[in-house]
Amino acid sequence: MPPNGYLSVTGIASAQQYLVATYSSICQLIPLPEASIEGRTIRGLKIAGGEGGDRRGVLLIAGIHARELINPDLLVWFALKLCQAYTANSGLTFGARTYDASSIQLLVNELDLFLLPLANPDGRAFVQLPKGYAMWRKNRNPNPGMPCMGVDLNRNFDFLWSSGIGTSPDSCSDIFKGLGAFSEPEILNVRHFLDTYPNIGYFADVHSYSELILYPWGDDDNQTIDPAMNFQNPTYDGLRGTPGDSLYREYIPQSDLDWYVSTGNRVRDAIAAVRGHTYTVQQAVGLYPTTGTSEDYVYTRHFVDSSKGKVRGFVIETGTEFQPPYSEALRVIEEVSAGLVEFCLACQRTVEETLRGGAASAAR
Amino acid sequence: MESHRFFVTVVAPSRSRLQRLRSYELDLFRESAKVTEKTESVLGAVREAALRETYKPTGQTSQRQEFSIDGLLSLEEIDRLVEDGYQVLVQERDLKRSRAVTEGIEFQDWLKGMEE
Repeated sequence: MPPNGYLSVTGIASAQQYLVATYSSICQLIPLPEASIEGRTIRGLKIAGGEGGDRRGVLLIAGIHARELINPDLLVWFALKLCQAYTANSGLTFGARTYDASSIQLLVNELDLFLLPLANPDGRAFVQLPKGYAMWRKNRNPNPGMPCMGVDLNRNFDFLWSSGIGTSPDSCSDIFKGLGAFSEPEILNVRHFLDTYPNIGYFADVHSYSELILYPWGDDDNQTIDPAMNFQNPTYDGLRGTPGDSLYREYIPQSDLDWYVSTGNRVRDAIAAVRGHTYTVQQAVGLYPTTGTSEDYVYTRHFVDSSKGKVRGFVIETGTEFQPPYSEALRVIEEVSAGLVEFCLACQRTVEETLRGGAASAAR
Repeated sequence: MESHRFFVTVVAPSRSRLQRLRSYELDLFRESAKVTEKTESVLGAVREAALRETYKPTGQTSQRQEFSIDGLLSLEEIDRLVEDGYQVLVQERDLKRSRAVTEGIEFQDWLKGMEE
C-alpha cells in the first residue's frame, strides 16, 4: 500500500539521513548555520556525481510556509527517485513522462543539485501537532514585545523589504514581514546556500497551491526597455506596487525574460505530460504584488552586487490545496517531480550553451 | 489553538479594488488572484398593462470583468470586507481541508509504502 500520510518533521530528517547513508557516493548532508527559532537543526542535501570540476548548481527549497505540507515530501521523493535511478543507471518514469538513463546521468554528473526540503521545521511541527493549527503559515518566532507569534518567511527576504508592498508590519498578520530583512534564521539558511556555493545559478522554491510556475518580478509589471527603472532606484520609491499602471514597471533584461518563459514552458509541458494538469507560466506579480519573496531576492543578488553570479529563480505553486488527501498528494508529487527533472535539464542545457558561446567568443 | 477561519473567495468589482485589499493585510493567496470575463444579459424596462414596470431580457449581453482572490479569513475579517463592499464567497471551514494531524507518518513507514 502506498504511504497514506505526510512525513513528520523527524521523518524528513530521517529521510535525509537515509539518503546520505544509502547513496553516500552522490549524496551528502549540508550543515546549515542556523537552527530554527525553537532550536531544530536544519539541514540541506547535495546530490552530485561524476568528476566534472566546473559545475553549476541548482537549489531547490520547500516548506517555507508551514501549512503547505506536500512540498517537503515532494523534495524528499524527488531526491530518492533521482538517487535510485542514477545508482541503477536507469531512467525515471512519472506517469506518462519518461526520462532515459542518460538524462539522469547527465543531470547528476553535470550539476550540483542542492536541496532544502524543509526550511521551516517549527512551523510544520506546529501544523502537525494535535493542539497546533493545521493552517499555520509562518515560522514560530515568539516576537518578544509584540502581541502575536510568527513571521511570514516568504516576506522576509531582502527585496524591497522596506516598501511594505504586499507585506505587513503587524505581528498578528499572516504576512508579517518581521523586524528586518533576513531577521529570521530559517531564511538566513537560504542565503547561506547562495553565499557558500556561488556556483548556484538556478533556484526553485516549491509552494502550494494554484498550479502555477511564477517568475520575477513580484512587485510590479515587467519591462525590458529602461534599465534605470529598477528596484534599486529611489526615484521610483512610492510608485511601485500597482500593476496595470504606467508609473513604474520593473526592469528585466529581455534575454532573462526569454529564458524564464522558455524554461517555464518546458517545466509546464513536463508536468502536463504526467497526467494532463497544465500549470500556468506567468510573472509572479499577477494582479496582486508582493515583496520580500525568495524568487525575487535570489534574482536581485547580481543586480545589487555585480561580483555575484546571476541566480534565476522560479516559484512553483503545486496542486490545488495545501493538504490534499495523500493519494492525491502522491500524484502531485509525481507530476511536479517531472517538472523538476525538466527544470534541472534546462539549467544544464543553459550552462552548456553558455560555455559553448563563451568558447566560440574566445575562438573569434 | 487558532480561532476558526474559512476558505473564501473575495470578489472585487475592479482591479483597483482588488489591489486595495492589500491594505487589510489579510491571509490572501497572491497567486490565486485572477480576472474573469463575465457575460450578463441586458435587461430592458417593459411597461405592462397595469402600468407596472418590469425588466425582461432584451437578447443583448454585456461584458464585465470580475476580479477575485482566494484566502483564509476569520468571520470578523469577512464581515469587515463585506461592510466595505466586497463580495465574499465562503467555501469551507479551515479544518475541513486539514490532513496535517490525521495523516502524519514517520520515514520508515513512508518508505515502505513507496517501495510497495
